[in-house]
Amino acid sequence: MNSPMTPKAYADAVREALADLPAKDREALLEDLDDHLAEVAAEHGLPLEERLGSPEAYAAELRAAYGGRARDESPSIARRVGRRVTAKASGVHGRMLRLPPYRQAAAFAPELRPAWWVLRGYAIAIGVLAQFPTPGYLPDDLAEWVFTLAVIWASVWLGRSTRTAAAPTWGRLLLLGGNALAVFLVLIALADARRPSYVAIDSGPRPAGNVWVENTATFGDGDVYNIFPYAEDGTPLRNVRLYDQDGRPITTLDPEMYDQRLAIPCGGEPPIRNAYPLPLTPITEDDRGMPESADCVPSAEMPTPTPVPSPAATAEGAPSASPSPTPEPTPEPTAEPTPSPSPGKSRR
Amino acid sequence: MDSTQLLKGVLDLAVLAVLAERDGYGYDVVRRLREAGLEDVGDASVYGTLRRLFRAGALTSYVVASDEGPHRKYYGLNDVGRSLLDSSAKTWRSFSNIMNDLLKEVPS
Repeated sequence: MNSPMTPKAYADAVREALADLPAKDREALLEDLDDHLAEVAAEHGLPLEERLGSPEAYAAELRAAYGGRARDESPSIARRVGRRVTAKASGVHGRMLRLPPYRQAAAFAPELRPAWWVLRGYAIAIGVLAQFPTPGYLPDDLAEWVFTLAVIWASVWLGRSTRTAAAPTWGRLLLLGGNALAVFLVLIALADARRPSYVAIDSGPRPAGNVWVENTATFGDGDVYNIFPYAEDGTPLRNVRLYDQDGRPITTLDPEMYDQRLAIPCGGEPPIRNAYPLPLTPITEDDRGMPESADCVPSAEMPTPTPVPSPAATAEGAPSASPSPTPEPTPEPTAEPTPSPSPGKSRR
Repeated sequence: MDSTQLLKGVLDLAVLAVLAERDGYGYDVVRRLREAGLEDVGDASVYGTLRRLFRAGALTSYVVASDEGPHRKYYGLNDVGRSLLDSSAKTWRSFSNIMNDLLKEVPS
């Protein structure tokens, strides 16, 4: 040590090393520390560290000789429970370490820490951005990207610095809260990712599993539960059956999710699920607000599906000078969709 | 054998014995223990021991103002401290007798 510590500096270092003791104990232990150090320094003329050892060693000796905490300050229940849980957990951890796979995983886990810091920052940033319109799992514009990268940087910085320095209690609590929030957000995202946000094409008679169709220009603007095919000259087509490249029927989302139900003609065969447009009727509710049971619909009253196209869609579909075929509601009631034999392509 | 390890077990008894002789403040107790031959005794150990014995109710304490130096906190034995010293001294004597018997045949 080049410059000997002053009694004041030495005393401060000792006080700092005992900062975790309850105030009463600390006061009792340190009340005449300054006087003692001044006396020792005056008496020997030796640097204090040479005579007494390092301030940390002095503090440790003081603490050891003083013994545990004062008897009337027994630890709180929360602290006792926390200590017991920690002891149990480390006991289980110790036993598990005998298993080689667990040992390898335990040795490997710390290396994943930086990855967690990045994921944590990303999850929190996306969680914050989700409060704004157009939520998603990616930042939408430059500002959001900058924000996300800043949060990730902060998370990594926090991770690196808390590893070396001992954080104060409130800091540790804050960190714990942040970690819990990040875990929560990641779990939410995982649960959400399992639910497709694009058009689900379900199979009617369930022949060969589900067919999923990715977002397309046609399906991109929302949920599709009915399809209206038109011929080249603009005439609405009916009973158009759609199949995918493997011959599986293409079906839309369940119309009942949109308060619509397939109209079942009385005395006829039920409509085919992949014959478009689907004859849908709004689901009516009874007095108690429960959906009424599906009665059959007389063939004369079968609903005629009428699309309500948006103007934009119409304009886009008209590249030439001739006006695009504007789908018009068909006024006259039409016959029920005739179930016809399924095409040979269909696998049953 | 490291005498500091032995000292840990008997420091309470040594401090009580020094204070039974006459009251003293922290650094005074340290000095008298050293003069008696316990040269390795640590200042912090003595201070901690004094505080612990006081907390346990074995010591009285009072502050003495001094003209030239700082005010000093003196410690002295009360009845609890004296009976603690008696019982500890008995324990130590029988323990040291046993050890001396054991070591009788060992050449010194």
